[in-house]
Amino acid sequence: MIGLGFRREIYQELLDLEDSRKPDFVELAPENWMKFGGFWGDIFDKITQKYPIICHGLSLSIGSPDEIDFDFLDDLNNFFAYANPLIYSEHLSYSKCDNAHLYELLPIPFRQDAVDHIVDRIKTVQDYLGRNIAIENVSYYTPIGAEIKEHDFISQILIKSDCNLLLDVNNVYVNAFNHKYNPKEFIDNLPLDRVSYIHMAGHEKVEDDLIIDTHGNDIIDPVFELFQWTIKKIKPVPILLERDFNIPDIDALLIELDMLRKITTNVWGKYEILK
Amino acid sequence: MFGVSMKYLNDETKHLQSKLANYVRSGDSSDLDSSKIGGLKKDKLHHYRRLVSNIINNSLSNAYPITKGLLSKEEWQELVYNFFLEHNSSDPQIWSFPYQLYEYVINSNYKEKINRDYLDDLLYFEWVEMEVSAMEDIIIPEYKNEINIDSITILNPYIKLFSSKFPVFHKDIKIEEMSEGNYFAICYRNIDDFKVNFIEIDAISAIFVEKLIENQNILDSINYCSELINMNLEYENFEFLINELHKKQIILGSL
Repeated sequence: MIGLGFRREIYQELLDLEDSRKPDFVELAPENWMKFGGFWGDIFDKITQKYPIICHGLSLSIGSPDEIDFDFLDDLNNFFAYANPLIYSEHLSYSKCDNAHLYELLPIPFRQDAVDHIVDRIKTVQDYLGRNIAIENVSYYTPIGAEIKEHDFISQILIKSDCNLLLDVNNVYVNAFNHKYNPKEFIDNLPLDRVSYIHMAGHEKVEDDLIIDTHGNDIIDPVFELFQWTIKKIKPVPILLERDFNIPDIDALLIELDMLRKITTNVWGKYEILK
Repeated sequence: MFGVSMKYLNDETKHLQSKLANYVRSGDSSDLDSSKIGGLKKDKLHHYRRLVSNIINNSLSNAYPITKGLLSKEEWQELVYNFFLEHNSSDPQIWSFPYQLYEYVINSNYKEKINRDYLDDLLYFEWVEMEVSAMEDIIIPEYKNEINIDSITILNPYIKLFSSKFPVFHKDIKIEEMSEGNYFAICYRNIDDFKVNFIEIDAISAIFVEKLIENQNILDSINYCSELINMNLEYENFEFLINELHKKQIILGSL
């Protein structure tokens, strides 16, 4: 159950891959595909015929101080009815504020009122969509007005809203480096029974004390090691390789997928594809 | 059933979020005081602004390569900066975000500000190509592949009628050689291979096509044009146009 983030740059390679080499699923952002026809609509149909898909959203802005956009939820519902994704996940961040979309994942203040606000919103979204969602721990480059610990912030939201965790192992590594904490302790403090999906990616160190989560490089060994350590603690879930920039040829991506597959097989054995 | 609740978030947290968002849009960090905001690393904030700027710039540069190429670097950067600062993007889908730049330019009369009369037309020309390219697929009703003047005409659903003061859709034309006038074109997407094309038409043809788009048949559309210009127009006056439109699959046929 090892998948690859779908990028338009590699659509033909993914369509041409023989079954024995192809990823088990692809992940895509619904915002980049819904209400889309023509050439890319046609490619989308071909991809979804060849691969199961997981949807990872960009614009729900679950941590936004603005009101929920129900028109957008309607569009998501229509898209999900068409595309039938196995999982819908989103980021624990905000990207819309003061009625303006910013198209980037901004850090939410780790505060109790924000926890309660987001729990309320996740419940509303889950009810409206008629499905549980998975929320991703995001990388961040500065805290802002934090009053509680990050792991407490995330854990409370997961438990109180009864949603799942998309555990981005690379983001844990990035945040642990940037904010000087122990990544394993951080993971141990999360409700790991709620992990339903894992992201893996590369990053870039841009300053002596700062890593940016670029998805533009290969996964580094310490992140593989953290991944191996983590999956021993959880039930088998789908694993995704994210690569959004500096995209290498498909063979290089498949090698990285194989590395992830070997690690998961060593820990979990062979496990079933999601149904 | 799905009430919107904002009862949990307190004003201080809201303001913090708003300050960060405002910084990302404006570059002004004076509201973000690290001595008053717990944990804030002010020296790292610029990465958020850089990341957002990259996304915005890429989206607009990809959508408007011709406009970007015609404006000076400073003019383009100022346009993008002013737009992102002053305009609240309502669209969760970034692919259609560039349309809002066009709206902003129209609403703010930006072309006068930078003395570029063709700016509105050029942006719309570039946008409409994207829009037609991405139009949602729809089911086309069954039709006969023939022209029947008093039956409902079945048009290619992926078309946009385009009018402009400058011939921005002319290939290889230089901006300084464009003369102001009234220009009309149809932007359409091929049914089979999805390629997007433009075909220039004259004013009366544009009115004729507009009526076809409004679901009038060929005969009624011709009659409408006749009344509009107070001349007796016949099918023969439009025959060449109709055949061209049929050949290019802009007119698909008749019911």
